[in-house]
Amino acid sequence: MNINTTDLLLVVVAFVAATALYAAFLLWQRRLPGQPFGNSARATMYLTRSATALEYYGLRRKEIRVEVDTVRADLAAADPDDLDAMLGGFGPPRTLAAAMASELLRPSFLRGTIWFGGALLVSMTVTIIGADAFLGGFEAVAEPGDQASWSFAGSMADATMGSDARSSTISFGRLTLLVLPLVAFVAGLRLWRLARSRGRHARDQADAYMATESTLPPSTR
Amino acid sequence: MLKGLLSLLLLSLLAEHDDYGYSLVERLRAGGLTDVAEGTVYPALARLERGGFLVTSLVPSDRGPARKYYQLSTSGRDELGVRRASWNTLTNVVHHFTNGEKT
Repeated sequence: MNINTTDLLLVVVAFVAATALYAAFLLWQRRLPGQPFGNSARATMYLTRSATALEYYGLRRKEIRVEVDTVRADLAAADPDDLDAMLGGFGPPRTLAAAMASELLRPSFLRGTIWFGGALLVSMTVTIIGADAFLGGFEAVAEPGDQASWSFAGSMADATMGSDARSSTISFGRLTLLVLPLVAFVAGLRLWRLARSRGRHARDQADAYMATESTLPPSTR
Repeated sequence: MLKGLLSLLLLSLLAEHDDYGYSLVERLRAGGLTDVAEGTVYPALARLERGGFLVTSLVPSDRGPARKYYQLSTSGRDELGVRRASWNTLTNVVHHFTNGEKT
């Protein structure tokens, strides 16, 4: 895979613009009917972060929707002047999600993807920075007609100095192969969760038992 | 707050009448737990619901989405009885020791 640095920048800009548009759409779509726009935006962002955190803790989509809708309905009906205090009372989304999930850290699609995607992003960033430094150095010393290449962890940068300008390509090479395990991980995890959902009732019973045990005074155990 | 006490209070409040999350928070505050946080009450309700002690129903609200009302289930009433008994035992023991009656 060869990527021109200008193309890469355009991709990043397009991604940021698309994300901003999508965020604005979500704010409008999920607005709280009983609240002014500012309150609604803050509440929606809080609920979105809570939903993400709940997914991080391994709750299923249906469970997440139930928990978020419960909070959302009460936020919508709150006095607009009290909304900030109410959001403060819920605490940080991640803390709320941890409590909602009974502090059970189930295997999570999102958590695995974040860690793997993060590792991939760091690898690509290191490669780009290294390649950029190489190309800068090459441009400073190269004569017309010179060629040079640089490699790091299976990725390569090639540069050629023409009569009036430098041409270059960055090849991520084997780094892109990291995407394959990511796809396999996502597909495997989906299948695993599908298989586990058959035993959902039994597991929920177990969760309920644990929650009850942990909240009863010691004298009753 | 003692572990498990909030669940006992929530079950007790819901034994009086069905209610939704924020109203329960306000009732707790009105009853003297002025620093109880929403972030404590809602997860406790979720745990009780998952435990089968509460059943829920959605009631349309004129100020937005339908609200989730909690109601004690049959096992919730049994659980309330068990927790009340254990709380009474605990308070009797604490009272016994803190009032210098121990022998």
